[in-house]
Amino acid sequence: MAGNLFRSEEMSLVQLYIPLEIAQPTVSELGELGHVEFRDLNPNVNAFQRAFVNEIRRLDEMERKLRFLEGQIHKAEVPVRSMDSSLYYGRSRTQQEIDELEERLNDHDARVQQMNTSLETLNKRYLELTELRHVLRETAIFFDEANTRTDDILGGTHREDTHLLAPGGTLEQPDDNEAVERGEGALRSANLGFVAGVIPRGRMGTFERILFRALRGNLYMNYAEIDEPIVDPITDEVVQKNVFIIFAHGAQLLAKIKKICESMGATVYPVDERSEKRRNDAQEVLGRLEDLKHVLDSTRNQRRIELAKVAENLESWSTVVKKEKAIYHTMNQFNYDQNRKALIAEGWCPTLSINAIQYALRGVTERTGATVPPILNEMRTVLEPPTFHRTNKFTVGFQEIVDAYGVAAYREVNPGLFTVITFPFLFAVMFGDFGHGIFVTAFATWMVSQEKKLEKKRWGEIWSTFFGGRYIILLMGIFSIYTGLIYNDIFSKAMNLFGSGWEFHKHGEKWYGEKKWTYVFGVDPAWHGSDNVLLFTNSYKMKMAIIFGVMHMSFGICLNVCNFIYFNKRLNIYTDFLPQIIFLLSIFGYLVILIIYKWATYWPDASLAPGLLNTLIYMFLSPGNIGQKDLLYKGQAGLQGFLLFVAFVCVPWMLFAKPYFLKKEHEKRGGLGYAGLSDENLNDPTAAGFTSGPGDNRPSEDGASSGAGHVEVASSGHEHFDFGEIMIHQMIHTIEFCLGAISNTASYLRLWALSLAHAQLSEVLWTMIMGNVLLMEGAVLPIALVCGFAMWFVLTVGILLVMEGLSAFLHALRLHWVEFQNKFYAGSGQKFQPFAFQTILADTEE
Amino acid sequence: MAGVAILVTFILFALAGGTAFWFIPKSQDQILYRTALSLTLVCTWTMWAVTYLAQMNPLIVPERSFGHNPTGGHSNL
Repeated sequence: MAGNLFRSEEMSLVQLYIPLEIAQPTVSELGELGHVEFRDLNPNVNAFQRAFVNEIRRLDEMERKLRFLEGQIHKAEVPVRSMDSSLYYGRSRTQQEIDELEERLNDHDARVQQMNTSLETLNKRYLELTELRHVLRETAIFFDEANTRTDDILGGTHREDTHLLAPGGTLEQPDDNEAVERGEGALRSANLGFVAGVIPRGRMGTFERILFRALRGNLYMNYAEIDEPIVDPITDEVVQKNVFIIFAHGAQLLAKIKKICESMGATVYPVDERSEKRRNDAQEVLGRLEDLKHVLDSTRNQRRIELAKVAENLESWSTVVKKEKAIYHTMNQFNYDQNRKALIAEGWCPTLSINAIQYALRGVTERTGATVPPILNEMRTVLEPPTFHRTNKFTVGFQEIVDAYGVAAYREVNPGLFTVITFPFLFAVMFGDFGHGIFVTAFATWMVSQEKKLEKKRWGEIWSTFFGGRYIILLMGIFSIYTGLIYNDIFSKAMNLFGSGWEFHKHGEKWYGEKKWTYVFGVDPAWHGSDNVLLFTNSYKMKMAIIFGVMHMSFGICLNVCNFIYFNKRLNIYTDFLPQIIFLLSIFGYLVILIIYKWATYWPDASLAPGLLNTLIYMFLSPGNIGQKDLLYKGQAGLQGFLLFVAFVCVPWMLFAKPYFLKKEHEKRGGLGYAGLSDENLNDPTAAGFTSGPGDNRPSEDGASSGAGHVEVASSGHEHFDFGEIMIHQMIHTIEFCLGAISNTASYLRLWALSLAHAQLSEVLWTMIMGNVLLMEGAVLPIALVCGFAMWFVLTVGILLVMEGLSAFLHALRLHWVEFQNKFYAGSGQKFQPFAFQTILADTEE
Repeated sequence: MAGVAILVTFILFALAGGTAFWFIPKSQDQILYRTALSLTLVCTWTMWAVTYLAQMNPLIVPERSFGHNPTGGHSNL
């Protein structure tokens, strides 16, 4: 039966002979199909020695280029056309197409790289020119200022100097110089040199200090801030910079300053001493900047066009490359038959899918026109197959809950099937509130109805958790509505739908109910608002928790029978199942019956009704005796003594029966001489592994290696009889079960505790906020009503729905994982992970 | 006796469940639907029955310090 959650699917180990020339399209087709999990036939070969390393390296290189281009596109903010990648399913690429793709990628990559480098140099040039422009402008201002000042300072000595020095010819100073030139001339005459440049503003202080110390103060420095921010072409960071100019005395000092500038990361620009030249330079710089800007713009545009071209195909290309890479990784797991130029693959597939696989293989043969088709044959094996549950969008969430605890062993009874209902129901027992249930259901209904649209949304991890569990939440909500109706809680208020069964009469200070009839559906609304409501709900919910717990656990124990019959371990029914179920039912099953009996009995004097807790305790403390006060029915003492006796008998039954029968069976087999034979088989690799189909004469080399793999597993499966070990195992199992039966039953009391907490919290929230608001009068009321309601609503959603919901979810999870599943579930299987492009692409997307 | 209601609803649930059980079409998910149906009926009926039973022969009566009658009819004062 397909799609049956009760047991995992039957799996087959298949062997595929794939002619080398059609290996790639074949594997690609199987990847599209996604029904085969290939086994690694070369576990001892390391990744670098495998057959298709070169192809993978090539694809890695292509992937790297794609990533580079993607990064560039992202940086340039070119919109990427997102495709429905399913368009690219069902289309395998030929070798030629891959070669073409590689060439195109290389082309694009090289072009983008080249444009990047030229852009970088252009940018650098642009930066330099911009800085130079600033330097020129700022220094011009310095010089203009200096001009007027040097006139004052040097005015007196100037003529003298020239007068004195002129004959020596050290300085040329034409007499007919312009007035502006005089300042600089003065500088020159004072043997002052200067250095001008640009430095990041942050380093200015340090720079100044270092200069001051290095030159012992023999400098004059001036600086100005550049008001426009400058972008560093390499790091793309915006830097604030200053223009500086330093005047110092003598060539040595100037050289020193230049060195310091270099080490501080400042850029020095040559500035001419003559103002005429400076003006010309400034003009030229402006002109060049303009030109450069044009070039830059056109290069940027070209790059954008190129990237846009790439962006159009980027997604489909990377899909192709990822697929190809996966194909070669898979082919690396195959054996290579050199004589026949064929690859030999082994893998697991669902037995039901073999036909689909055969069909796909035939399709490949037809399409490629190969002379030799790939051959599939099924092998018999002693290996434990992987576990595969065919889930749909509804069941997958529930199956994941179970798988999170442990993947079922092959063909084991799968608790996932029952979890579909029991999980949301136990959740709802703890979360029972009609109003909250409606909210949860509405939220889940929205997610389910919009699932096509919401599937594509990437709203973070929390959202995808909720969205992945939308069907679980839907069922949780629906069951919460039901349990809310039963508890008669709607946002902690009650509804009187069928007419309360209680009529109230006043006796003294208080009003007391008088029962007329039993409320038909759920808890009578009369209890809401009564002073002793907790006395009633505690007793009722506690007992209900025990009843559901015993039912749930007994159900788990009964599921053992399905496993024992299926795996042909009928002995275990008598040695494990029977004592377990009798033990549980004779103590806690009896407790459930007592609960129901007490409820169903009419007690004229309520104070004489015996407490069940005492009954249970005294059943253990003084078996066979019962006080007159505690008597529920005639013959109770005898029955209780008998049940206790039965429960005690079950313990040694569980403990000794199975080891005893196993030992007897082993001795019988040993007497017939089979034991020795199976031991010998173990040393023969071909016999212990598997018998494969006809035509299996593989070369000895790979035969030995894969055979060795089989032996390893086969020997662990071989039954080595050790009585002591079995005894110890059985002892642990027995102790665990007996103690577990008690502690697990107590553990179900969390159903009561959580539902009590939920009801109390919602009641507190209502009385503290809405209760107080409704007491107000006059003009304040409308405002208080709006504010109070908003607050109440937010807290209801935040605390009662989200937080309480999570806590109830976790407790339901625990009840399933521990209390239910440990009764029958081994969870020791390996999950079936087929080679499928869909999962590979989805994985890499994240 | 009031306990009759429990029996009657049990029979009704069993009948309804049984009919639905056999009418679930044969498909891939037949087992899933049948299991879900049976478990839902068992859970919901048990919960209702437990609640009904618990109120059938009450050992305590509700006490109030105010005289509001939930039936909405006569308040006895």
